[in-house]
Amino acid sequence: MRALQSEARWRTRFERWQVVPPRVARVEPFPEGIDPRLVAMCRARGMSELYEHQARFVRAALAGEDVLVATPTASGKTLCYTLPVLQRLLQTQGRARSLFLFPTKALGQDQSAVLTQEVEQLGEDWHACTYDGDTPPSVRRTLRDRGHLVLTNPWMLHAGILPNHAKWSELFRDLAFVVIDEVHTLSGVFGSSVANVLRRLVRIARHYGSNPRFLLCSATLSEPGAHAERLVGRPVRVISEDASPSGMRTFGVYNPPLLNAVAGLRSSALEEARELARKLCGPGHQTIFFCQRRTAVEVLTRYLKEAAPALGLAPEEIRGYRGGYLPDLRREIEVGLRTGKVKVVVSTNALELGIDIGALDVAVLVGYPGSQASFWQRAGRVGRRQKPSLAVLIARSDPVDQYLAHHPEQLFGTPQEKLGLDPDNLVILSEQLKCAAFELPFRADADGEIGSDAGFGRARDAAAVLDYLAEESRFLTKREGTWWWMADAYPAQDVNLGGEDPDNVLVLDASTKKAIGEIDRAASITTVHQGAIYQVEGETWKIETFDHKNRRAYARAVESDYFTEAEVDVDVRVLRLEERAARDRTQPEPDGGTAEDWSIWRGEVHVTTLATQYKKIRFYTRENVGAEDIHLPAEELDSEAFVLTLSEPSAADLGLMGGDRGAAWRGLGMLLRRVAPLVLSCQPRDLGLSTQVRSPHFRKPAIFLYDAVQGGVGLSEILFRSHRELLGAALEVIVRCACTHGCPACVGPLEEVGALGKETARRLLEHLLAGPTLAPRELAGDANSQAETAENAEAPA
Amino acid sequence: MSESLRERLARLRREDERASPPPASSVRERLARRAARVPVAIPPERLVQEGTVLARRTAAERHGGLVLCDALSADRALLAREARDERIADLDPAHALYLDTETTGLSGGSGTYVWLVGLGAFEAGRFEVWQGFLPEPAQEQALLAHVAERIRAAAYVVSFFGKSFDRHRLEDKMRMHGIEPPFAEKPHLDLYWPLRRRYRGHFGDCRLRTLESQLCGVEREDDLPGSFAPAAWFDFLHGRPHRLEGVFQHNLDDVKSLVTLLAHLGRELPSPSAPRASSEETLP
Repeated sequence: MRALQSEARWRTRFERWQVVPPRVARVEPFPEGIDPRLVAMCRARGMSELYEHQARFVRAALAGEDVLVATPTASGKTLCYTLPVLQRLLQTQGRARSLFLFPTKALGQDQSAVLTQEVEQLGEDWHACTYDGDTPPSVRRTLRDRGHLVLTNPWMLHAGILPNHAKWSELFRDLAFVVIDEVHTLSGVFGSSVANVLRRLVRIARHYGSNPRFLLCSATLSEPGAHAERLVGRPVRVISEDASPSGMRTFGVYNPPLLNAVAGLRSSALEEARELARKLCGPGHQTIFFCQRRTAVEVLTRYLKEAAPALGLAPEEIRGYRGGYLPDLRREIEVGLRTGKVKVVVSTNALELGIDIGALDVAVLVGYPGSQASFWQRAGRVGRRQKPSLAVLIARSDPVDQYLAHHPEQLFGTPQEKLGLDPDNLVILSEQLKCAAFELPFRADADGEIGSDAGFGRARDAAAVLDYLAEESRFLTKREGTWWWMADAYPAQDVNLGGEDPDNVLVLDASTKKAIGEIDRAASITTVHQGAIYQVEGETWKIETFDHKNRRAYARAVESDYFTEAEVDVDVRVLRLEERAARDRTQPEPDGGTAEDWSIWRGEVHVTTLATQYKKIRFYTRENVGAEDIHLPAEELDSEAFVLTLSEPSAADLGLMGGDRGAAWRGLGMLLRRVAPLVLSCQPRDLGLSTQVRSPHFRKPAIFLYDAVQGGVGLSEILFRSHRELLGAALEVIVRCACTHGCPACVGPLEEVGALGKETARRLLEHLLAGPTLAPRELAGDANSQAETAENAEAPA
Repeated sequence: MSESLRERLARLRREDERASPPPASSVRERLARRAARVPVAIPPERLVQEGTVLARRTAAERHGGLVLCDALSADRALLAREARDERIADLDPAHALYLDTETTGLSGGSGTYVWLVGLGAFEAGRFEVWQGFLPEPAQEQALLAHVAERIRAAAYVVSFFGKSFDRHRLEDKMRMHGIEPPFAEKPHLDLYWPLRRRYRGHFGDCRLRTLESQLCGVEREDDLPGSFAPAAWFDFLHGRPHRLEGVFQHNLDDVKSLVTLLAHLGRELPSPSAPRASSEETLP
């Protein structure tokens, strides 16, 4: 590390060193009443006291509160929930049971080993068991009746346990705690679905007479309480002060050198990781590299193995690790890491969550993982023990990475980005209500609503959705104020937690008809159209036919020296506006009144996406070697959008006019979309973008950023609330970017945004950020209808 | 509900794309059918309200060419040996309960209803089948409580594939309604397993229909296959023309077959020619 800080070649590339001094633990004795056997168990593992946050959590949990601990990796979160669970088990002589949900199967199995051992130490005939797809049928029965601690995942709960709740009645009758680990991973469509699965769980538990408390763990989060409350449907006590000790931790943010300042091109992060490895790997310590993609893991692993002698290592001391490896191989690598036999591991996010690999010394993040929570999870893989550690983030040339390279304080400060979660998304809610009605009928209250339902009582529109399902589908029947499931079907089988759309497109090998991949509906028209090059694990496949109607694409393996990029026309139509904030122009109008300067809006939109043509682009050189048309029906999406509009006079003042204005306006839109992960936890692809120089609806320039999920999962609302942070980050990126006329690290390359694109976008952002914050505006009663007229007026043109 | 939410739901759920073809028949035809539906939508005949349960009782002496009372003289020791359950040697077939159910589906899970429970029993040497019917989903608990009591009172249960299916459907539903399931300690002679051990590879498959025909010479006329059961009950509940009568008859025949197959199993037979070592299995 000293070499990196002193050698000139490296020194200049580190934008920031941040040193967190060693921290002493703040501890408390075990709360009163904790069973001596548990205290002894902890003592045997070297824990004679609890950290403050653990003690607070345990007290709250045992007092019957729902609790969330949101602290960094390695702060002892597991003990937070195991203590109350085991204490209650002991108190009730084995009656009080608990259910554990882990976001991945691997994590569940990992924790199961630990819990099994702990329960065995208690010396009673109690059991901790994993219930997942790997559990043999013969064991399942015993587990249902005798599993005191059941470890599972959201998918099994959704499709296996809840629909068969009668078989689990022993568990539900005495369910004391529901433990959910890594709740920061529960956002977007998946999180919104899981929130509904939890509603179902609460309902079933109540049916059997229990009222379990939620014990939640999470990485450090922005607004953890709000997230937890949306997830479990009731207020949750939040504990977020970490009282665990740590050794001295050093963070470095490394920005690869500029190769071409005018074009803003930087050396690739993966290349730089290879270079840095020479300084950061060695026989005396353990190093972990995190890559964004599986292929990058393979490439880097191969390189490091080749370079092993130069690093003073044997090739077998360097391992790759990612999902898709067989469980045995993964276990072997995990053990190698714990025992110190493996010195270097290159991983995807597979090692980001709490799999136990012990304490490593150096972490290298090849690219920003997209959220602060992920960043800290990854960086937290090192320095668990009280010894110094180092974490290095290598910035890529995209706007978010570059922003953070210049603002590392945002990485180290309080978390900024918010998680999108909307359990009342109509598509998700209606599918989940189907599953819930299968499990138990819904009874209407006197007012026709289901407000007193233990699980869905707080769901917006739930009764109306049930009515709809009863009338429009053949699955439900309403009889005497009760909605009954009435079909020969098992709905959970057809309801996917990960995506709203059961009609994902399967990509099949044209000769064997075996599936080689799956792609969501929206992306299909641009990735698996006829002629597209589809890439899996570095192999290239050419799409021969795309059966759009039956959602199947047939591909043949080819050696392609080019990839394809499709172009789309996106049309966004406003359906309903729900919120607006605006600012008036500073100069009074001729008549003495005020006129609008710019506004932000939030509302429902209908998006039509038409794939028009695709370009063939040569690998490496990015040379364009041809283009062809795409003939596919348009993709329709109903969602929610955040909209930014600028009045025509202001647009004129700011130079958003003339031939290039469309390009510049679009450049700004692209930039906003790409920096959005700084304010909300998402990938840029989770947001759709449409820019209109003269919106038919607003009759002025508009930028639409919409949730790319049918029905939306709340992303647009976060953008609406955090628009100032969003615009601020965008301006920072432009100002800091070394390029002259735009580049992929800011608004986009010159060819896309035009000669004045970057300058115009900068001026626009400065204008939007100057002056006071926006004032909420009443949506005039006729705002929607008036717009309708405007649209009609435009229609003939 | 407001029209707009309905429209939004239809739009968001892409209902238009979810294969719901427009009705093929004209409005006039549908109206005619609706008018004609009323008389057929009434419950099957001979149903009697017995306390909280609606049921039909049917006395039976013969099934195919066989006399049901033959079962009473079955060799108990042989039955116990064949069933691999010692307890059965001490139990009188006259006190057994012959069980068969009709449900709304085979996939199981809490949303599956057991809507017809056939329970056959001998009383003073006379066989009678009691068929408890669920006319409304809301009356499930009453029916199940009654069924649980009858099973509890019986010496043992006789079924065909019931250890794997009927028992679990009933148990799940009973647990769901807080009724203690009666099966745990109750001897249960599931005829499927001993008959399969004896006759595997002999008749192609070991379904109830095959065995009753091959072993007991029972040939059913106009049998409505059990797979029609879900639709029959849904049609009835929705006031559409239904085929409940056919399912009642099917269930009655199934219960009677249990008796004749038990009688067959409890008779010493010349041991059949060595079964073929076919592992191909079709579940009933």
